[in-house]
Amino acid sequence: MTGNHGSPSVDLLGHARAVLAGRHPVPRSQAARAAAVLARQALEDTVRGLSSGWGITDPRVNMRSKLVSLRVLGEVTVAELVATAWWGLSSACHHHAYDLTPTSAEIQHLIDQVARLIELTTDNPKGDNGS
Amino acid sequence: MSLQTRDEDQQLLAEVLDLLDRDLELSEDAKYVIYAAMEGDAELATALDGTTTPGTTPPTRPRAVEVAPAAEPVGAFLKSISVRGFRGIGREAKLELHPAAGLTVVAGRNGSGKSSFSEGLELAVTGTTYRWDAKKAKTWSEHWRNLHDGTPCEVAVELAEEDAGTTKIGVRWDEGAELDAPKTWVQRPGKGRENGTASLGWAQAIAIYRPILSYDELGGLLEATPSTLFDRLDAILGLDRFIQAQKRLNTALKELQEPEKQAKAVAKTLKDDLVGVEDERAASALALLRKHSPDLDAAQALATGTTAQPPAELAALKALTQLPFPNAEDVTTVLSNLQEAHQAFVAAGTVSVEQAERRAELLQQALTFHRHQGDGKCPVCGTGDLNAAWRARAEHELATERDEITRRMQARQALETARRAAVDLIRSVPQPTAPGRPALTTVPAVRAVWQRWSELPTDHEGLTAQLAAVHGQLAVSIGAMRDEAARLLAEREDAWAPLAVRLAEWVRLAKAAADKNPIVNLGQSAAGFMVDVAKELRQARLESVEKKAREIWAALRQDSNVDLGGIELKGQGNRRHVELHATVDGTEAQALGVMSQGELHALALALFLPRATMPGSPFRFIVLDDPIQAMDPAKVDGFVRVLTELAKYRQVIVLSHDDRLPQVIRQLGLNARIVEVCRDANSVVSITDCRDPAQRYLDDAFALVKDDHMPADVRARVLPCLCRMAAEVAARDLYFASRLGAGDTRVSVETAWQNATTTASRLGLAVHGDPQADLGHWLKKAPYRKPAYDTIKRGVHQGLITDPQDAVRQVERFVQDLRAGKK
Repeated sequence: MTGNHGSPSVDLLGHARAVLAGRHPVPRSQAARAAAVLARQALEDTVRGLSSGWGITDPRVNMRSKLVSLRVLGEVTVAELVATAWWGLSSACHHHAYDLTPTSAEIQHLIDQVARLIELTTDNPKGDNGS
Repeated sequence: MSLQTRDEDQQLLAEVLDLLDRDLELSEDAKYVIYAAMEGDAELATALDGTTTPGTTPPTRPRAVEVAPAAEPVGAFLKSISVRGFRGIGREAKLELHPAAGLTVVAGRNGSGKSSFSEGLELAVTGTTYRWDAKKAKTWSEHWRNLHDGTPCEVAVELAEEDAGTTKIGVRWDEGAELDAPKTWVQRPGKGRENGTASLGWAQAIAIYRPILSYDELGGLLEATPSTLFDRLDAILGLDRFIQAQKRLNTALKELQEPEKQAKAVAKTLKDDLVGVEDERAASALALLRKHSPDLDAAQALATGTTAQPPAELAALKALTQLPFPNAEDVTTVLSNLQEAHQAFVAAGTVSVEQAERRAELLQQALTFHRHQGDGKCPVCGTGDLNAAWRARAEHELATERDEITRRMQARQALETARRAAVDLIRSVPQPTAPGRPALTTVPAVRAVWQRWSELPTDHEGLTAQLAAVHGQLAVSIGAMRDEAARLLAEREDAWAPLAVRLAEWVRLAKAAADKNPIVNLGQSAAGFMVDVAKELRQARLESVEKKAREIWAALRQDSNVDLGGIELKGQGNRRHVELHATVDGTEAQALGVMSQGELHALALALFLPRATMPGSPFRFIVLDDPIQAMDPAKVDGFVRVLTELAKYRQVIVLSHDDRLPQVIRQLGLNARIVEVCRDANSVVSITDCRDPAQRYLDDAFALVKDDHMPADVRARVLPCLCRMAAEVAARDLYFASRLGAGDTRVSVETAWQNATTTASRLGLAVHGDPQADLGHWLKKAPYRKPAYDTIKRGVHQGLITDPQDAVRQVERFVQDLRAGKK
């Protein structure tokens, strides 16, 4: 399990918060998007940890497969949290034709979701309700 | 459907009865009055009459448990909406819906015709639409008929009514008919069409619960006047029957208090008019009226002039008018008698009676002397002879003398009598005593003349000379005084008579009011209690709305710094308004003032979504037309959660113009159906059941199959689960749609589904309507059914042992058969 303090995902999330708060030398206009990238990496790292618990270790397995597996094999709340955060952050990491740049409040919310996920998976190291 | 409203009312009645049972202070009579007020006008009238009848046993109110409805009322789900020639839809298009709890998203670009469904539904159910009502937009109301294919123009809605079956309602415009002249109809299962929607009994429920909510209306909710928002919120609390009862009791009380009110009104003007009236009766009446509990009998005696002590001033005035006074004839008679007697007296001689008497005595003594001494010389003069001749002469003289004396004495007596008559005449006029009030102007003159009258000289000449003259003056002045007193008396009576009539009227009203007093007190104590009960009920129900609103707000707010606090319905009458308390980063504020437009929308949703789940609503569906237009992407997540929570118990239909909502549903793998509406040339609208949840499970399964790097053992575990969920979702939709459409109760359908815990029993329900049914025959009907069944049944426990792609394809066809209801 990867959710322990000092783990890559927690560190990444810490960086994401720092970037969003302007404590890193990232241009303000790019801070939200940069933070989103960092937070998504933290999320990926957490999901990687969860997936490896069920034997998904091949890094080439795509995220959708992992999310689908997580829905079937993991807890509902964890699966929903992962899905919401993943789609939210993915959307924030790319430039879209019509959507505006995400606000820092939105990214803050997504970072909080990842933090909550890390917290949940730390409490339940297997991240698996055995279904 | 009026049955539902009754059920809700019965629930309210049960709550009120329970509160009455628990109260220890209110009298049983007053409690019965409250119960009767909730039952109706006639019952209340009887309750308020009945308590005055002594000797009868008072009727008893029922116990709370006796009136409480057994369960949640039955309701209606939407089965389909067909629209033709209306708004954006030309050729008939039918939106099929699953008549069961669950979330359906109807997605379509702006102008695709999706809103035509919701507006058509609104028109069919309510006979109007918010857009139509709110905007009265000319262009809208001109182009409601489809430009391409506007004839016929009609909407038909199928409703799955619990306990009843499929009811159809519709609205239709004849060619050339105006928008506001639609023909609505209802068709109950197994019956013919009836005109109008009145037989649905939904009019009131529509107004209260508004199951169809558009973006426009959401925006309008919080921009409406404070009293409108108050009414909207108040209506969903379902206290209508109690409020009606309060009104009923207050009306009855007003009627009962009418005599008292009238009495008070009469008393008020009467008091004003009595002030300053110069009549001691007015003063007495005023004193009586000013008392807290006036002596009505005394007031009545005063009005009718039957007081034990007649009013002093009036008596004095009356005495003056009747002042005894000798008339001129009497005076003339007395005077002539006096003069006659005086003349007779004078004529009777100048010598006094005493002298004649002394002479007669001397003669008598001389005669006595002569009888004893016989003839002889006169002993007095000594020269005269006392003899028989003298004796005869003396006796004759004495007799004459005595006659003369008698005559004189009589004349004197007659004079004396005449004089006494004159004195009596003078004394017969009492000294006139004027009352202190009113001051009579004529009295001083009378007193002056009377003084002279009473001091008339006693000597004959003086008396006879002045009597007639003074009498004449006295007659004039007394006449004037009598006139004045009579005039004053008449004035007083004229002024008093109308006041007396009003006083009598007041007495009558006050007595009637006093008769009603016990009943009024009873009614007032009941009414007072009802105010408290209303407050308590409103508070309790508002708290439940508030709780739900806060939950919804918590899901919708996301990163908003506004925390929703309490909701208060405040003020009365024109000043009624809603206070939405909020805290902004911990600081107290009024929600409406600190929220952005998007937040206001979310707030409106938070406030008005709970009403879809109010127990009293006969609608099991809620239709939201584009609710997320102004919503931040982050809020859409929360909104979807709210909707799925709501969809556990209600049929939730959301119309959406963009892909955000369907996307979130797909991303979260939620059990929701997504329908896409497309509009082609000439307003031909097509509806594709794209990506229903079963299909999405299968899509996910295919995605796993295609991911070559996925470890085979994980795939073998995950795929059967996705396949089973796809099959069960399809089975559930099939079962619910067929049973609810046939008129089964929602509770029985849901219970049957919940009790069927295995895949086999669920499929049994879906295919044969029986959880125990043997599926063998059905499974053999197509070659892919049995292997698919094995995948979803055994694969879940054992893992997939066959080729993953083949397995998912077989399940896909299996699900298609279920969806189509193939036997």
